[in-house]
Amino acid sequence: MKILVVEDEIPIATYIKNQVAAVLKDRHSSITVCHTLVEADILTDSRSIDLCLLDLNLNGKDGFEILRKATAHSFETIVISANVDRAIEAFEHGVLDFIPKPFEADRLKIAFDRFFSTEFNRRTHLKYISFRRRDGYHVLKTKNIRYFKASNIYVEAHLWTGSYELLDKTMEVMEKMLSTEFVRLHRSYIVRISDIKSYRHIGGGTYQITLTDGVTLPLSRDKYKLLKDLLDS
Amino acid sequence: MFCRLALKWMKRKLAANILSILGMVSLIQAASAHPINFNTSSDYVVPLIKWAVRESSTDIWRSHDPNLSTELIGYHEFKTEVHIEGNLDEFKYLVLRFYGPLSAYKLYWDDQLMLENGIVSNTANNEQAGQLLQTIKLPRRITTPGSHTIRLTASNWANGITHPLLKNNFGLKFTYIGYGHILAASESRAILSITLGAGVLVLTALFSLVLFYSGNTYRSYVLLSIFCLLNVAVLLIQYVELYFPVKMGHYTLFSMLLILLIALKGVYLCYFFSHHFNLGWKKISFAILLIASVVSIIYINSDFNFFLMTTIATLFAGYAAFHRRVGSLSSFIGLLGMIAVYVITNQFPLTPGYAYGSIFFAYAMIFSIGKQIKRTNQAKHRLELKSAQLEMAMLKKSIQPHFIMNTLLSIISWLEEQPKIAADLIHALAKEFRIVSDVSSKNEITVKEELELCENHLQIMSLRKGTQYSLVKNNLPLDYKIPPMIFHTLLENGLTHAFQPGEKGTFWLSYSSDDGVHKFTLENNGSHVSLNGNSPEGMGLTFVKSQLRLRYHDEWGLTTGLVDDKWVVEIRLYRS
Repeated sequence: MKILVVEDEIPIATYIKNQVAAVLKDRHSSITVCHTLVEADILTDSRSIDLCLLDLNLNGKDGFEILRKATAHSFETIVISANVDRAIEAFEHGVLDFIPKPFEADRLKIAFDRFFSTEFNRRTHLKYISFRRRDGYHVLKTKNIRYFKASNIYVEAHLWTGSYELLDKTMEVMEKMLSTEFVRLHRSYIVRISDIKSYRHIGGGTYQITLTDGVTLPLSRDKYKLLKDLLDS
Repeated sequence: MFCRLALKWMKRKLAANILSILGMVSLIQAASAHPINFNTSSDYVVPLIKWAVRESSTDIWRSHDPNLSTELIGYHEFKTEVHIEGNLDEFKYLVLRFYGPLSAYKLYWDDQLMLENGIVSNTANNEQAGQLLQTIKLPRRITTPGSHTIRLTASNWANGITHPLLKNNFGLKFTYIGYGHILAASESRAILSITLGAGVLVLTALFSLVLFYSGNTYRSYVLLSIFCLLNVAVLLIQYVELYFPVKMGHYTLFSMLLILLIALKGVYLCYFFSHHFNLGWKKISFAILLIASVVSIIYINSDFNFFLMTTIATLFAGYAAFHRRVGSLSSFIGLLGMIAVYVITNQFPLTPGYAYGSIFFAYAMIFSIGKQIKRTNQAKHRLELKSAQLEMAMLKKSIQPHFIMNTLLSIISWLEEQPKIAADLIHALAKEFRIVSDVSSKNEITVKEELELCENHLQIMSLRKGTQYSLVKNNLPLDYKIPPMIFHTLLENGLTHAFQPGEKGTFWLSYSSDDGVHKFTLENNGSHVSLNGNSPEGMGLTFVKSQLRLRYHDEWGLTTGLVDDKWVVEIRLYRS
């Protein structure tokens, strides 16, 4: 497991690195420390990172910018910050956890437990999804998304407008990030439950759902029962 | 009826009065030999202003100027003629009201002795001064239609009113003839208006003094109060004979005092306005005004003095009104009103126009001051609010989570590795809080105090960032007062924006003073700034500008920019 620590104050960065190493013991393969977002950008382009511990000043106008950049990547992000008043905003951008400064090793452990948990830790706050295009970072509002579709190792966010954006996330990460209003009904599709108009068995072990706007999407056989329960309840 | 007659009377008298104000009336009277006319159907009193004086030990009579008092010295005979037109109303009688600058006189009506006021003598030793005011009732049988002669045998040896310095302000012109009941009514009205005027002026003076002592410590309130009290003194002394019988001997002192007080009140009127509207020529103007006032009253007369000084004051108020100073318009109107009321009411005999004018003026001034106080209080309130906001901002800055939580985490992170540094950091943080809580409530602190805060802050940030920040001081005036936390905030700004993590940093703070302009320059050599070149504006700079505005209003300047790869902030203060 590869961890990236972004922290602009060198002594604190060292401290975080030591704490992470102590908490994870031998469960990590590397901890890289960098001090600026520019540096972090270069690193994340060249390596695959699993988790980022982001500790930048989220105060002021920069906060939104930093969150947008951090959450556009395929890795999960845990924010460590003194600006507790920005915590909700951070969750809205899909961060895994928000650790207020100053923190203890125990609090760090809780965050890692969350990361390693196989259960879904659904995030109820997600409002924005950041993504990176050639021309820079952009933000999607989750309410503008019709459904998510797997595309190789990436995820396509299909919008109500008919277009789609490619997100640097795996289907698994995406599923974890989204709130309980979304459900993964197929290996390749995540949809909003409230947008499902009907579902049916079209024969030959093939199932299908129809969304409110008439679009049909495949439904896994093993999710048929789950959907039935969900919609009946 | 009264109005119609008053208008008629005014028309006739206005021209003569304006000329008399200018001190030119003597020329007209010398030329005219006609007697004063008294129409028995009229109900006003008539001033006796055409007098002749007899050349000593001859039978030659020549014209005497009733505006001048110099011709009254010594032993003289004066006469004037009154032409009574028509028969007197039934049951009514005429009176002569003699208010004169003569120490002693015998008064004859058609060679019949009517009054002996004091003892007349051709030598100073034997003279005895009489009363200042005499009202002589004329029996109906002698006030028949036709011409009558009033003759005075007068002596004037010990009378100060005849002093050359006072010559233009006293004379025989204050003598009247009229129906007894009209004259009595006029006197009552005069007493009433003087008492009212003096009362209003005393109240205004008290009001101004209370304002001065209650914290609105503007000197102009004291000046207004002095002006009002001088006015009260002038009014009461000028008409003292209406309240008490006054001996001619005592009036010598009063008249000297009166002239001085009139001259002074004119000065204070103008001086008050130049202060009140902050016209800037305060020091020089008092001397000039004093000279103008004294010269005008001695060489022309008190009426002219009144018009001159009031016109100057009106010009002052008009100038202030033109520049939209608060309360100046009502002052301007008040002064114009005072002149107008004076001119109008002065047309009537025995009417103290100045009392009426002063009442009008006092009301206008109270209104003007009220307006000014309202505006001042509003400004003060705004300032207090702003000051409190800035104090809050300073305290908030020192406990903002990003600063304090990161510092605490730094302390934790140093604690295990190097406890000594952790302890240093705790001490520096404590010192920062102590200084901030101390200076935040102050409007200004010395450069020395500010430097202590800055250096302490740099120490905290050096320990936190694991690098070395230093401040180079150049030619700083340690005792010079500045608003608190200006440079501290600019340093903070620099630390946030200018340096790469781990980069060593130097700040240069220098001072220069040129032609009354104090200039502080703060530079840093952060590589980040020269890389990006963008302006690190933000909350910090907004705070600094608010502080400067609160203390220096618009007499300051702040510029930021990149000079030779250094980020430079320059603050210019245009007053000390």
